[in-house]
Amino acid sequence: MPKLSRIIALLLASTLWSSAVLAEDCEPAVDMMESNDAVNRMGDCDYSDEGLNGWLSGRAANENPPESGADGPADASALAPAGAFTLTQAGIKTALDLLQARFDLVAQAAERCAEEAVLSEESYILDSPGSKGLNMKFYCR
Amino acid sequence: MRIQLWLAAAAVLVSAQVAADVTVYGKANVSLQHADEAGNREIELQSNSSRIGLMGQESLSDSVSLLYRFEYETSVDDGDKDGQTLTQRNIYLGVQTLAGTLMGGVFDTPLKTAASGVDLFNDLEGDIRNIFAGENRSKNIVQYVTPKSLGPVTAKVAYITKETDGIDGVSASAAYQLDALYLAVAMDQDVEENVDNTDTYRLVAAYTLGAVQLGGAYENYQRDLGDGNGYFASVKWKVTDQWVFKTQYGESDIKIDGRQSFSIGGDYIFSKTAKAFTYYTRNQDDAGRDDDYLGVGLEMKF
Repeated sequence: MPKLSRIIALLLASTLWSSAVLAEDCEPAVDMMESNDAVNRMGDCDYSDEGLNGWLSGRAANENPPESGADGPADASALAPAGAFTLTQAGIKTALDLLQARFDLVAQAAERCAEEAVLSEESYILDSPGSKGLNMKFYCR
Repeated sequence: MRIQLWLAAAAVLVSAQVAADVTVYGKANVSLQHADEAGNREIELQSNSSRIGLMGQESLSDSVSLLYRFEYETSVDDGDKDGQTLTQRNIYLGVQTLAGTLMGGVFDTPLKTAASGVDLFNDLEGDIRNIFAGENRSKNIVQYVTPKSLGPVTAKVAYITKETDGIDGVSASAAYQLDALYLAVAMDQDVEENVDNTDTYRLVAAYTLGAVQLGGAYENYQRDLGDGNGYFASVKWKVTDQWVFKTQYGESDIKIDGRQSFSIGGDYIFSKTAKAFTYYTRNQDDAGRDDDYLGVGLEMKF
């Protein structure tokens, strides 16, 4: 039951997280802001990992490392906390596929960690025309 | 245990939300050009509206959010922009609901933004401002923008409370964008500083046909001293994933009789955010202006 609760919580978190994830064909923020309908598109794309934002969020992550990161790499520029792992699912063609893929990966992550699995990053790739790949990076704490 | 789980989930959500709230963006665009302005020739390093900005959106409820943008220009060439390191560009704060967005600040008017997609040499010597009136970034402006739920239609109405000359202005636009087609109609009334009884009307169209984008605009400018008309056409051809060819031509008698602007150039795309470019621009008019510019440059977006 606790495992199931963890899975549900992680699934909810990852679902809401993904609502702000970079949409397909997002142009650079500076170009989007010059468009005629910029105010209606500001929420369409997540630029948190783009350019300076990625660097800034990496700095923030290093300033507030997770507990398990205490034994992590000494390099201050390293973004991944210790114990991080990435799970991948390919062949996503529909919204239901995406939901199922996210559920599967979250379940795998919860099984892999003794205590908690924390989602640190989610990204998508185009693995073939009309088909996406989902990458989810977690760490245990 | 259950509370701890939900707190952990909430923490993940909050951290994700915070990360998405503020976006830092900008670009550095620098070119080295040979300028021949009425026979006065020199080599110039130009910063072409290089900028850095912050933008974001903060949800107040399911249907209401605040949005903001603070954008500043910086001169990459000599560090001096009108005596300052940073100068204001588009700055606004607004509230967005299901009924649309209401915002205030200093920013480009609806008439200006209506043509932003067809000016292929924007911020360079061949900028559309050479031949058209109405390229205004107004201060003390309040604007309403229709919501995203209207689909391909975006309409804007702006009221410019010009606090310097006592003559308030109005700018409005209606644009339709669906797939490869973009159409817009826009107007200004008394938007320019210290000018009364002026009206500007602009029509804009663009169509993308495979690798080719065709664009055009027409403008009519009316004032007490008489009317002026101008037109503008542009072509962009994405030859390969790396190479883009582009050219544009416009002429008008809005700013001065017989004003013509011709530009031709190309981009080499390194990545989604980096490119090199080259251009040639010729600006001339009946009053004796006969300027040529040949340049190469780099652009990095972040």
